[in-house]
Amino acid sequence: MKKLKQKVSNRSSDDSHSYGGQYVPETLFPALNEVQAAFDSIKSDSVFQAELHELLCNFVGRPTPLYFAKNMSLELGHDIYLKREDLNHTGAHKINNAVGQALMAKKMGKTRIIAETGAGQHGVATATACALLNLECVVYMGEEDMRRQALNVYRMKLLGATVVGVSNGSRTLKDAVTEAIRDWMSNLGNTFYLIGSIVGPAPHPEIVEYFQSIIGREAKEQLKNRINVLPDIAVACVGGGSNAIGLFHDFIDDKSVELIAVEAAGKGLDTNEHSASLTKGTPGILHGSYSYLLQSETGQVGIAHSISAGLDYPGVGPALSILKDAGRLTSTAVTDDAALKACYWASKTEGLIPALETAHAFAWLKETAPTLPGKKVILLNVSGRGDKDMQTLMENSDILFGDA
Amino acid sequence: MPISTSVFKSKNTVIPYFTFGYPSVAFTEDLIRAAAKAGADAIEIGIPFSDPIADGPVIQASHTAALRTGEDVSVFAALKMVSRLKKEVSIPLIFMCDANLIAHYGVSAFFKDAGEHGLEGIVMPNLPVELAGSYMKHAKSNGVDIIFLIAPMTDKERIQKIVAASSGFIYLISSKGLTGERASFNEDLKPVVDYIKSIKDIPVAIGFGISNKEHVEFVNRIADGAIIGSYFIRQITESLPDDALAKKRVMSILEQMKD
Repeated sequence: MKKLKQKVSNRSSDDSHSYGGQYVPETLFPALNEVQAAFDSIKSDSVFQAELHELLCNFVGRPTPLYFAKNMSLELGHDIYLKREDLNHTGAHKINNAVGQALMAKKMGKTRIIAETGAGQHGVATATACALLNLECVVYMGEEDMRRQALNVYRMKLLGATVVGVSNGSRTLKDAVTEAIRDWMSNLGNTFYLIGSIVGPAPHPEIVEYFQSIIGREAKEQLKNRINVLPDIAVACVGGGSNAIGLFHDFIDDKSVELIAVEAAGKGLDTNEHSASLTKGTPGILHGSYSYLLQSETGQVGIAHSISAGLDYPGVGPALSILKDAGRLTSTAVTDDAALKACYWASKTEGLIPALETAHAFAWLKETAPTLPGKKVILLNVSGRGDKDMQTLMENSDILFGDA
Repeated sequence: MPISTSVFKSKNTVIPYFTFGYPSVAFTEDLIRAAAKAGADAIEIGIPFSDPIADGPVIQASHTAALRTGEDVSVFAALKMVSRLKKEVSIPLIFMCDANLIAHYGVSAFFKDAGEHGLEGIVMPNLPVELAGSYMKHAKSNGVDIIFLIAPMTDKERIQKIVAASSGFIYLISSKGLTGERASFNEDLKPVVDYIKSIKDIPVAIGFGISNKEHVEFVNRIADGAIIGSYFIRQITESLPDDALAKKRVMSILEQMKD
């Protein structure tokens, strides 16, 4: 027997995987086909679209403002525009998708909604949409995240949802998704899996992108009305990638717009404690799709780390993997400490406390903008507000205020 | 000998599933030898994975435990065990593992190594037939069977595609949901088995939820064999840290089922 050493380099071009796909057990196929059919039909259903529009305007609070960040612009020497998804009802972009999908589930005759949540923002958004539309709601959340985001756990309960703690694996978002998929497989029929990011088996990533693309569509229109230009740069933080693809979607064909995805470098990209799957991962299969993934030498899914629970995911949406490989998107990453400092910087400079997830995008802005030549128009997606992060911020006050 | 002709000869065909490296590689290796002697018709070797989405709590816990032992429980280590076992065990050895472990290993490299190490087949619960093209090509050229799964709710069009792509045997899931024991057993499986057989003459083994001799006999009456995982893994889990007791309990149940 020949001695063989297992290495990633065993891959050959003949192995042919495409990003996305439906890498799921056979049991789920009827459910995926049902979701696909519903998704196809709502896109051209004027009654559905009118109901969604009504909810987005009067329940969610859309359109969200596009805010010219005067102080930041002055400090950095560029024109900074902030898309204020933090001003949505429930405090983040997650509600756009939750309301859309819950409405779709209702149309499908589903009575029970399951969801996963990391930071709790998607869980809160889903619980909110379910309360509104009178649907049963069960949210899976890693126990570590329940500790970090206790306030959001309480909010979900207040909204009538059942929060199920997940004690498997790293007890974070990855494990919550796994548990939600298991629940789905055991409760097909009445249950709809309302996934919160652009991950999971097709068509789920595409559905989330569809409902989140309103972010970039509005921003593009608002910027046009305001200064009649496209941004030079569109920047967003990336965990699974829903707020990023929501911002990017309408700019993908505008080749002059540089797309920047800011991942969580955690304790540093040279450590094993980060969540930078686009920047440091290799393609693999997780939760039903093929995409960039943090994984061990033998193909075990890595345990991600980020100070922000919403970025703490070892995978990323297939749509972003495609953009990266096509050279259309630049991925980069900032550390926990940089994100904490940027959270303070954004708060005191512009009077808005961003979520720790969003603070990663601000950290990139603060570090990189001064090095950019000329005067750029930079569009940054403020994916959420930081109220939920007070506990973490307080615990890290020394870093936050350290060199201020 | 191909799996299809070597496995399904006995009246009560039983294919046990053991998690590789749970609680140790030496234990798994010893258990497979003993199970082969006790009349197991093939063995499914579950390769531990960090996120097994198709598995119930019993098997998932065994994966987590195997990954935490610190021993090498990789695909490559399992292939090495297969080549050691193949010197004395003649029944087919089959992997059951998440598609990512194979994608990561490299599809062509895996099937080449699998062929060289004597692995007869592989089940990848999250690899649907539509995405299996390169896997099937390399499996075929290296003499390894890919065993696809069919669920009771799989529609006829998909069943046709899956059966056409399958070699070795078909793994029919007894009911919806995850692996794990069940009190009641779905008795409406016969029409699905008959439909599969009307497409192609291929053995059908039934798995998920089989936990007693009556199940084994029923499944062998309507199909060709029973795959038993969680029930055996639970015997091991309940016996640990007493390895000898774990082995004894698994063997006595296997012998009784094969009786």
